[in-house]
Amino acid sequence: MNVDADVIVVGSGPAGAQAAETLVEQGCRVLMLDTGTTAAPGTAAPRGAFLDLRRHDRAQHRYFLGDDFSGVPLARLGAAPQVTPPRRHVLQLAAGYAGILAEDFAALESHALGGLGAAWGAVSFPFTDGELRQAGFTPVELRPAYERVARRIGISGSHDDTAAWVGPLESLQPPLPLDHNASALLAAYTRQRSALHRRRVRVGLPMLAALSQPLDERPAHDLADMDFWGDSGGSVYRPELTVRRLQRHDGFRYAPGWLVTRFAESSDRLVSVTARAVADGEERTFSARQVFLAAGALGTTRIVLESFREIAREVPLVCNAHLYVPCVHLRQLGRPHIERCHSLAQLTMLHDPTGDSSALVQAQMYSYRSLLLFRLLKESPLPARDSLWIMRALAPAFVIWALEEEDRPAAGRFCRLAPRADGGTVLEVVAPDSPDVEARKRDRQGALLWAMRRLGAWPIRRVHSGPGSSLHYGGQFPISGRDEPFTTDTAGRLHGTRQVFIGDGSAFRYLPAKGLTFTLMANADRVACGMVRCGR
Amino acid sequence: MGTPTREALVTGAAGFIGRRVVSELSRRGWRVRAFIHHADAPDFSACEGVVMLVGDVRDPAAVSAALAGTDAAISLAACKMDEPESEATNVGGARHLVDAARAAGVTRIINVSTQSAKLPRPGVYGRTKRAADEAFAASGLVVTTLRPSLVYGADDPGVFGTVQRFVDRLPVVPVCGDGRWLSAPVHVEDVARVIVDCLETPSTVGNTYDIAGPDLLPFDALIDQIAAHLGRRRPTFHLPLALALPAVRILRTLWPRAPISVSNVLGSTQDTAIDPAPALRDLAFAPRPLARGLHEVFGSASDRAWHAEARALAHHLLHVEPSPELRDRYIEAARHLFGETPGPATDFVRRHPWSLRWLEAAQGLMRPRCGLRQRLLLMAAILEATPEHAAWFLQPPPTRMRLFAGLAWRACASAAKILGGMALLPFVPRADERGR
Ligand SMILES: Cc1cc2nc3c(=O)[nH]c(=O)nc-3n(C[C@H](O)[C@H](O)[C@H](O)COP(=O)(O)OP(=O)(O)OC[C@H]3O[C@@H](n4cnc5c(N)ncnc54)[C@H](O)[C@@H]3O)c2cc1C
Repeated sequence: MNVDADVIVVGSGPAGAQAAETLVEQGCRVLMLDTGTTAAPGTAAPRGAFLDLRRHDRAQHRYFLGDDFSGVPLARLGAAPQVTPPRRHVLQLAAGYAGILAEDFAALESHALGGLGAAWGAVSFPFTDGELRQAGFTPVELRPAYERVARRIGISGSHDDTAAWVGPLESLQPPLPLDHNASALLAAYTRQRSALHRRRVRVGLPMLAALSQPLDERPAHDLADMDFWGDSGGSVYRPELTVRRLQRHDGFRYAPGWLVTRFAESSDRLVSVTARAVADGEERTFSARQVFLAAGALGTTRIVLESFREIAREVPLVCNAHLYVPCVHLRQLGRPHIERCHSLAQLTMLHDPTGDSSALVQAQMYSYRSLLLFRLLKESPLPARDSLWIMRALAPAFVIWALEEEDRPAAGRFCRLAPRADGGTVLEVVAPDSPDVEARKRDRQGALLWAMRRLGAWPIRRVHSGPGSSLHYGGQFPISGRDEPFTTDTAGRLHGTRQVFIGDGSAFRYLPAKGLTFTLMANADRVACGMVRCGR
Repeated sequence: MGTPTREALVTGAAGFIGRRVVSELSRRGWRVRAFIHHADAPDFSACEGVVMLVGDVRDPAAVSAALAGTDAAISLAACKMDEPESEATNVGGARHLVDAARAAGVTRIINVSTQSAKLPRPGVYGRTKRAADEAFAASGLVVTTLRPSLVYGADDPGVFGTVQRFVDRLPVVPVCGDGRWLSAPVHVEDVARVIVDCLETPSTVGNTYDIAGPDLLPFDALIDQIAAHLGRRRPTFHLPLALALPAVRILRTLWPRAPISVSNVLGSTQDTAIDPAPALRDLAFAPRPLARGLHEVFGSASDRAWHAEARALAHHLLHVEPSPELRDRYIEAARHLFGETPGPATDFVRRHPWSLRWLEAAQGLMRPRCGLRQRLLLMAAILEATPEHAAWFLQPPPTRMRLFAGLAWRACASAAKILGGMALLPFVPRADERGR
């Protein structure tokens, strides 16, 4: 029988892109099946510094507001408010896609080239050994993968006061320069280090998948403060960069426009993957020796459950809780915003109440300025003109902390396939709130809020963007030492299959309080290496 | 087409009528020399075959240089506001054009005059234009003279535009005389068209035509119609001529650039016998009815309501007049996001723009997601995402002292506005408009 490739990679997100690169490097022929929508032409912000564009670009409304004005926030703060009009396509779903059924839970998927990674904030902390073990990984296996991925995509940052809470990483570029808010807060932290350490709070620089030095064809960050609207010439890592580069290899084929629905293994040791064309609904089957599933945790869950026809089977769901804390940085009042900076995370702050990382809360600090004032207006109860004046006066001193908490599987929280009236199925996400968990969280957050005040950043309020809104999903097919259905083995192989591997968040047993994407990429590389070995 | 392209000189090409004449000529395949006084000229880049010449009709050399080698001249350059140089421009300019035309052998001239030239008691403008008409008539050249009645259109700097601004901004519109002065307003594009028609119709040579719109009506009725189109109701206040003339004279000496001149007063108080028939007959002149013309100038009733809304919001937020581009962007977005019909609070604000600051203050506190606040939010976004107002939005923060003083002031002002707004709410029909 004809095979289309050695390996079919499903999805072009961070996981799929890294796995594909590893596979192609090792000489495999790879076919990447992807829904792969891209932005409409003309929606991206041009290169240029924020202030220059603001002062001179007559077309700025096209990216700041969007041609459909979707950038004007009229409704309540939803999930991923930082997904601006130029990135709106990242959350646009493909035609013919069944959707997700979820009440009070933001279950957002991406069908874009690059997946959610086309909009991600690039915060990239390696997990500590403890976190890796709890998530189901073997640290010695993942460390070299972290280094390989870091060398490929470029991670900048430093080892500082938070080092003990972050896994080791050798391949590190120097950190990007801090903006005025971050340097003042860091200076305040240095002055009050011992008081904060007593409360088990640490502040440091974030690790970012953004270049402070050129790498391959990518330039160092231009400090144009346009990171919410553009990609600063490719210095922030996006999976699309990998896909575009791989397309120059003979061994790699990128096939966008395909919505994968299921896979099946046949007796001739091949795997067939069935996909529907987004353009016309035509069904087609592709075959390969191995399959790497990286359709995003929710997308992969649907494909797996659909392939086994497992209606009503419940698989776990974990998702970091997220909280925004807007603050006014008092020390900065009356001082202007500096011109050259980036708008990615500036600082990281963590609180480890138990001292063993078992209840860690971690927060990233962002300076607000380049998100424009009008987005704040709806939060103000004061008359509009006065609000604008006040916001303009406070804007350079306005910072936002994004708090993240770890999450573990919990009873009553799950995904499953539910039958639809028309005979098809839909992925259902059930995630009830539990008040006692919420209360515990409030306690832990309290220490960070105290620390913010201590540093001079005065919290205005807590903004809950709702369950699911971190968009860090995982836990469905956890790595398991035991041979159980709907788990993966340590090599990433899905239980009950010979050659189907899982490379995205759905293999994580739990999610620590730091973004999972860097680890997910390292794991994708590790799993891909293993696939090459067992495929030969 | 076999005929070589003809070329015409247009003096006063930057003016209200001149601009339209230039584009009409260009549209009909003429090459045009646009003779303008100031370098800040209108943009003719969309018109083919237009060359701009900067000069003054008072300068004979400039006029002959501009005219040399053309096939025709259209004389539109004139001082209309009784400026000191009126005589030199209106009469001198005509003479220079006649001399230059003779020297260059250009024989075809369209002289655009005015009904004011027929006034029994003319002002400076009427007198100088009449003298210019006589100079053209005595020249022996192939001249046609056109005398338009009140010319109206968008962006008119003249009588019509002044009335429009008065109606728009003043609670009571002052009118010189008894308001029964008869005019036959004619749309500026009809005037431009008939000028070029005339140029292309040799049988009109030697004639003088009154150029009038199809509706002959008293001044008061015209003001009423303008007010209706602007969505206003405005009483008029009649100033007897015996008072108006000296008042305007004094005004002009104190404020030489005042928007009203003695000639304006004289021109809008004495009737002239307007005879539209010859133009209808010889030129098949078919001017648009006044109602349609006004509609074109001011837009539809719904457009006007939208414009009023956009203006009120922009004035409130930044104390600025929104540029047409931003206004239209707002309207496009608001139609898309909120639909065509406004809620009662918005409707109230459209009719009473002054109420916005009070209403939105009360609603911001009590119903932050109401339609009115959402519209303000949208306008704020549109005003922010443009270079036009970037200076305001990007202003560096005030010093701490000023910041705290400012915050205290804003807090008091907000409280006052909120209280005022709450007092107003009962008078707004069902002000509980819900946003999305
Ligand atoms: C605004 C934002 C900021 C973020 N910031 C951070 C951060 O700072 N740090 C961090 O660690 N994480 C961050 N994340 C999360 C991060 O983006 C995701 O964890 C990561 O992208 C997951 O990668 P993935 O490859 O598993 O899946 P995805 O990125 O979701 O990619 C899925 C891919 O699969 C394709 N696909 C889906 N279904 C199908 C199908 N049926 N058939 C074919 N193809 C399919 C899609 O087209 C897509 O290419 C952020 C996310 C967002 C939205």
